[in-house]
Amino acid sequence: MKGITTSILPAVMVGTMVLGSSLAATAYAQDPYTVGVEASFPPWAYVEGGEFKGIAIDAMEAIAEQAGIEIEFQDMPFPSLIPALAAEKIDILATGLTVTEERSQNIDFTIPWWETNDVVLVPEDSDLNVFTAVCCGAKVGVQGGSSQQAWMEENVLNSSDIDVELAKYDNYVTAVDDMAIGRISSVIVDDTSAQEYINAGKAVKMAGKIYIRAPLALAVAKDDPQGILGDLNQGIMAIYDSGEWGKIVGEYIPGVTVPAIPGHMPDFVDTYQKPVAGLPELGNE
Amino acid sequence: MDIYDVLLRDFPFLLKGLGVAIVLLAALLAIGFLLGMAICLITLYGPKTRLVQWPLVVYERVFRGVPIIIMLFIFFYGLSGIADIPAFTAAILAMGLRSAAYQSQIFRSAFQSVPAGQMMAARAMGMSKVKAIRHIIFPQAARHAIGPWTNEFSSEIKETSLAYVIGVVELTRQAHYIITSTQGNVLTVFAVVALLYFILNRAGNSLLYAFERKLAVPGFEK
Amino acid sequence: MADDLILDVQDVKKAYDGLEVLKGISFGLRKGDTKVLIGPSGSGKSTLLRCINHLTVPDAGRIYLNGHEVLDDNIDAMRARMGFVFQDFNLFSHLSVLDNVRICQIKVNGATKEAATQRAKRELERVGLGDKADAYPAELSGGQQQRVSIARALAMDPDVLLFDEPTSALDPELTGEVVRVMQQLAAEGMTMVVVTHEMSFARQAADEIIFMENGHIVEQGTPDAMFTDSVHERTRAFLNVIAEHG
Repeated sequence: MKGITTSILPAVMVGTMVLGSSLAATAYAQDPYTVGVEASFPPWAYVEGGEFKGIAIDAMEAIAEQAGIEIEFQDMPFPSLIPALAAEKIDILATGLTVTEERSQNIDFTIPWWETNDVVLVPEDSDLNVFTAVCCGAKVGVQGGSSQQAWMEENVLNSSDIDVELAKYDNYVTAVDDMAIGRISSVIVDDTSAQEYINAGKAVKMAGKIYIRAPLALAVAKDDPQGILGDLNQGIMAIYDSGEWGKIVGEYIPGVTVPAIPGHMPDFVDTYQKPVAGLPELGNE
Repeated sequence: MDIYDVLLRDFPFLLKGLGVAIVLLAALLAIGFLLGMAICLITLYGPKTRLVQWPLVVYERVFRGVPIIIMLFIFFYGLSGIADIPAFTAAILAMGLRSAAYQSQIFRSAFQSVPAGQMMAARAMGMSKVKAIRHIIFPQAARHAIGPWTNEFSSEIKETSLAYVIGVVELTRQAHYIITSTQGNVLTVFAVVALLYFILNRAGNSLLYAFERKLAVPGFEK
Repeated sequence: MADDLILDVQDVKKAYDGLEVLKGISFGLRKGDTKVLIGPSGSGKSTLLRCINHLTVPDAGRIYLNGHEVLDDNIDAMRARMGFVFQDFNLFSHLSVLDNVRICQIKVNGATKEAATQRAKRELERVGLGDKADAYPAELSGGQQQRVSIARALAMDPDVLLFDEPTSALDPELTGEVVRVMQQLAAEGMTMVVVTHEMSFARQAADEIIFMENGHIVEQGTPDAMFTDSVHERTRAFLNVIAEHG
């Protein structure tokens, strides 16, 4: 009997202490802005040697400095990021986030800071081309919840009789590895990431590009409850104008052509109506 | 840098992830133990009125029936209107409350396998119900419970890896970081991670088996 | 209520689902009395015994121990003063023999560990098991287990001991050792109520035998009177059957 009580007690106490300390941590959690990132999405955001790295990370830090705000990064899987923003678990979403109409109904975008096109990746020794890689019984890998998945569903799966199966992955690295062992025939991914994989020596090649001119941007919760959208927009413009943006991007994707900021701002996004927060001279009429 | 150098360099972060998993595990098991024991005792020895028993039945059914990933989302996002719960706390609560449902069943069948005569003899000697449970029934039930409880321990270890969906950076997530920052090596990295989980599981099981041996009583039927 | 009664059972009634098992039973014990309850199975003997310490709560009637009524709100204290020996022993199977005899002294009576140990060893010697203190119940024979359970009851220093068919679960060759302990206790002046089919014990040790049938006391008297010239036909018939089988 004594044996039981004395052995269980420490375990219970540890548990209680853990609970206590994590509850105590909530008290001051609101101070710095929490920036949600998907840290398995190089070159935008990833973790190396225990530290957050990537274009979105460095740029976000530069913007925060410009705007004089404190930030901390919180990693989350991509499909959780937008719900987390909607539930105000995070204040800013900074990852390679594509601006889409559906997303713009749930979150507010900053001005676009990048533009991507998607590419179809196939194994290096494959003779599939951009068309055969996404039709006729092909199994195509995308990241679950990504704009590539949405694009495929909208333009291929739901609007044609093309026989394609989508394989949804937690992240693109797994998709590319699955393609290497022949589980899927191709992967659709943004051109920036595709270039990364090729640079890293993966046995893949681009079968072709899908020109979608998708803008990427930061996002905040709908209706900007923290009132930081203007600061972020100004920060983006400031680091672009100062050349810091170009330096950051060049560091992660050497030799890339940096798209102009602000890029193409689709009409369907509310926050792109004139006047844009923080940058009143910009916006769609 | 080849993957083994990266693994060597980043091993402390894997250990940190393992640490997060262990704290999560300890906390969820502790909540599950306390609450599960309370549910078990109320079910078996509490008032038999529907008002008391019914909510417990519903609680058990719900937490055993709903996938943990949904519980994680509910506790992290769903409760954000009521209380701002950090991801780690949400994970402890969601998983701890579910473990309580499982543990209450483990304890209940352990208590029920103690022969009725034990309680009767204890009461006949003048022990109150509480004393009889504490000194006579609980020590015997504990011996019945420890085997199934070891199973619960092992299965909860594996469940901790799901906490990453709400942003808890535990071992599996740390492994993802290495995989994505090196653009691959899924097999190598996860082999190391699997080994770490295996060691944790074996260490825990060994402790529990040692505890079981310590409690062993000649002729006491398991 | 007579002042000198240790145990006074007054008009106890008990029914299960409308079936009356006890139809108003009264009897009493003075200090040092040994009363043996006999009767065919289903006659209500065990129920009566359990009603005395409220293991079965009676529907009606009163029970006094040393002049204090046994009630729901003093039941734990009352039970501590009444030792109960079960048919199937019910030793605490996770505890050693010594701890079985100690635990209630400590947890119920508040005895110190030293005092409880001394007392436990004395009672184990008394039932002839001084050498088994460190054994566990499962390592003992049925007869030994029952003697431990008697020691466990004795260690509480009870006013009365209640025996519920203490030898019925034992192999015939093991009943002797338990009966001998009970005879010894009776001889030492222990106050006891015994439900049993051991007629040799009843004949030798009982101050009074109570014959029950269908929830009634049919007849009661000294062993001599009961065995030689019972008034009632039923009592004689029962004793004859028992004598043949016993």
